[in-house]
Amino acid sequence: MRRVVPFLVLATLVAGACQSNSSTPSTTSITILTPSSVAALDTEAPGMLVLESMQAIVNLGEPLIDFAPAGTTSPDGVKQLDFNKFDGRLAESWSLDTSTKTWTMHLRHNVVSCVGNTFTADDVLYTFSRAKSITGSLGPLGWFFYNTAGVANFDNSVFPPTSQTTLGDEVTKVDDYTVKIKVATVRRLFLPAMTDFFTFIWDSKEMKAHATSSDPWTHDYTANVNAPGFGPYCLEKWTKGSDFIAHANPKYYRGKASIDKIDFRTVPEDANRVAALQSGAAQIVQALTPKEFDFLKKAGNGVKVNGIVGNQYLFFGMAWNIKPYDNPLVRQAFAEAIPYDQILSTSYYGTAHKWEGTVPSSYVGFHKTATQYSLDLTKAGQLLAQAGYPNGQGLDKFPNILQLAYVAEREGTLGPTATLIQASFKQLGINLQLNPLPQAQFADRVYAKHDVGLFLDDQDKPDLVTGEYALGPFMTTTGPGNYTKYSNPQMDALVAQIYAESDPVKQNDLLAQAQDMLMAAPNWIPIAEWETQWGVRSNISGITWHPEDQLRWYDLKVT
Amino acid sequence: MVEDGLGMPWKYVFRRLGIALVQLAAISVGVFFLMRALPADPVGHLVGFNASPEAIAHTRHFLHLDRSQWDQLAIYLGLDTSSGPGLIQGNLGSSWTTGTTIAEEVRTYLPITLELITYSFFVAVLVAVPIGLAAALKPRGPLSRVVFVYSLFAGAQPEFWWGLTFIFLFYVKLHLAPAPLGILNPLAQAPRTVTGMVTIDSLIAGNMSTFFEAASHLMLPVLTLAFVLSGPIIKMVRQNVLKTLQSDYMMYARSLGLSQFRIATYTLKNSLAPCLTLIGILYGYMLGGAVLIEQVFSLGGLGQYAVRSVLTFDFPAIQGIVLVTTTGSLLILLSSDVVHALIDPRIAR
Repeated sequence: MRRVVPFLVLATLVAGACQSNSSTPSTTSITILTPSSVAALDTEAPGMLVLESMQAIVNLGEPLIDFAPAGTTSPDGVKQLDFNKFDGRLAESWSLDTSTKTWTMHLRHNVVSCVGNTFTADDVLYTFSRAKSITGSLGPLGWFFYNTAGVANFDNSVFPPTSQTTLGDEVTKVDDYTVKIKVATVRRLFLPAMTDFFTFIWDSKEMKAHATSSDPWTHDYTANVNAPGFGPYCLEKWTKGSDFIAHANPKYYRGKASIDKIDFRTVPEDANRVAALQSGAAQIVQALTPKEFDFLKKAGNGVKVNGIVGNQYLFFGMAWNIKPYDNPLVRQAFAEAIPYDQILSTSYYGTAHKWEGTVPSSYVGFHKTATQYSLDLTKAGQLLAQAGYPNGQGLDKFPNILQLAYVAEREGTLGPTATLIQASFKQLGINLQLNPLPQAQFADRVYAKHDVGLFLDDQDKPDLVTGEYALGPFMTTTGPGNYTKYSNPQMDALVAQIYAESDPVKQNDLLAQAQDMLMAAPNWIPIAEWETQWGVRSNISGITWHPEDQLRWYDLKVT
Repeated sequence: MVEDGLGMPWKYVFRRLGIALVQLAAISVGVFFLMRALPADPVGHLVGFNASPEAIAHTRHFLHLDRSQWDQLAIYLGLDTSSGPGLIQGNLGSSWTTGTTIAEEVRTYLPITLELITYSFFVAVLVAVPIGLAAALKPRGPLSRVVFVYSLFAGAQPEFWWGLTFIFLFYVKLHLAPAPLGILNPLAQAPRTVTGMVTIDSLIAGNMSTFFEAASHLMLPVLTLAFVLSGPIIKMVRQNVLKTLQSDYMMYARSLGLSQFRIATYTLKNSLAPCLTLIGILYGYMLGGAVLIEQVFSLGGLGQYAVRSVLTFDFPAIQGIVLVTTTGSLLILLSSDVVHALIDPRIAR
């Protein structure tokens, strides 16, 4: 027996090796590789903030409405949407009665979920009720988007001490296929909010079937098992930490998706994702660095890179309320000392462009500001001298403040960027220290506590595609995304005016004023808008960009 | 000394188990406080961008982070069961990121790691012990020189470097290995979960195609880990066998004219004890330390789970992982001590 054991092991390994070439997928199955895994399917669980979870939910679920195709394609082959036009999804049509501030949604008939339940108004009411219950462990995002949309009673009264978490007459069922939604204020954001995956409609019958007395809103089931909805794909197998396999919903009301099966698989190593795509073992890879996408593009071999400048941006944040950044001259000097062109070519390999406003350029209400900064060290030196720091003298009094924080896990892009800025600042006599922080620590300090003096951020982006949403949370004194503690009563009043304005043209004029004001004395220095990219086998087409940056598998085609 | 018919030193075993329990309790409490001493609050990461103060407060309250650390400890340990059972009641809690219970997550990830490292140790020992023994029998021979160089060479590079090198060689260039995309091809039929180890479960289910599929995907990571692990084991075996062969009692055995087989048996018995300790320590370390191999081959084991949990400040998950790996390590070390005690009863006294 002792002599046989090595041969058995060898035979197993050799037999295993012989299996290795059997992994070619059929033409209607594709494998998408991604660095992390789907963590949860509950929109009210922290795992939903993982990008892979978002990709899963946007393909299992369905919104009331969606953006209409723009009919245009980015230079790197990604289809675009028109953020001013909407197509019906679960709602066939809709109307707003401004006198009563009520939206009426006429729902689609004959929509069937993966488990065979028919979509009705009850599913919409359930979705709103669940969002208002704030029973999830994530700071309630369903509630947040309905609040942003202006839905009546989705306000701070849901929190203690009042805890008004029961859905009232703000959302009512007229009949099985008509729903009325009251809003506290009429906002342009209402329709964009209804496209967001945090407001996708749940299959209430299936959800209630998995509810328990201790979990009446089915958080456990959606966090761990499935997300019952009316989307184009149905979950087939989900192994946490590994893969997520979905098949096309045969009853999907827009017609069955052209790709039968999607294997959404976790492959943490970038190099392995690249190798698998090049060998044909995978058809799409995502979340590589710009350098790796550049390599794929140049290597060819049946692989292309699709990309689009959507809403991903890089900015340089400065704490508004602490010395020396409380001085606008210092902030302007820093803006003149950023080596924009070098960053675009070195960090992004030419797949980014300079950000010329404070709202993503693809969004409704973007305005190219009157003030534009470019690398001009002479001007930067003069501004510093005017601020009382000639040749950087005096700034050494703030050693703890002159530290540039960024997310260490994004070293591949932010590392070179930070070093270029450090080198440029050095020429002004400023000794900038680099401070890479772990993701969780960066999130705590920048996004929650707002206590970092200087930081580079390329992760945050406004989910809703209008200028007021891109400014409101970030640039108002009490805005939750006010990472720099910016406080300008003029800006607060202007943003309130933008939200209250119902004429889109006037709204855009006000947005332009706000952006000009911000750029003139920036608390954020906008640096770059960079491409969201995918490495794709050449027989895959149809990638369409949506604001959450996730692939909609229904759009994809295999030729 | 309380012993059974097999010579098992039960009193020694119970004493070591008692010490292990105290160690576990101390580590659990220590890790609990260490996590909370980290210079960051996990809530910022959990709530994401644009979270309002109310949302942050809601999450903090939901996770009991608005209570004192002693209250949180009481909840964790299960001394305060107002919000559910705790550690004493056998509940490790739920992940803050995924919402899944830690026990369930460990049940998913641990078998993958156990499968990887058990096969790797099996292959490593199978290769290392005969080679180490042969090298020791002829210490100046060519095999001994090769072994010396190899044991230095294998340990000189980190395992992920070898993993990437092997992928490049066997997958990209020679096409002998499957793509490093996990343990099963997406089209393969996964067996019903019994142990969580795909190769074992597929054998139980009699599904040989899945077994070979899993074996093919495990081949390269197992060989990589075995390649790295066999270096120190060969070295240890060679040195211990050499030392034993040069000992007085072995010279005496030879002078008595005992057969080569009998001498080899005595040599192995006397030299393997330190090697078992090394293997035990390495195995315990690999429970959480195989992360780089898991990462390179996309296996999704306990190591990767640990890294993800640390990066997201998922306190319950980190506490659970530490508890499980510590328990594993303590049990392995206990087993190693018991084997030592059986080989040399003086140790148990």
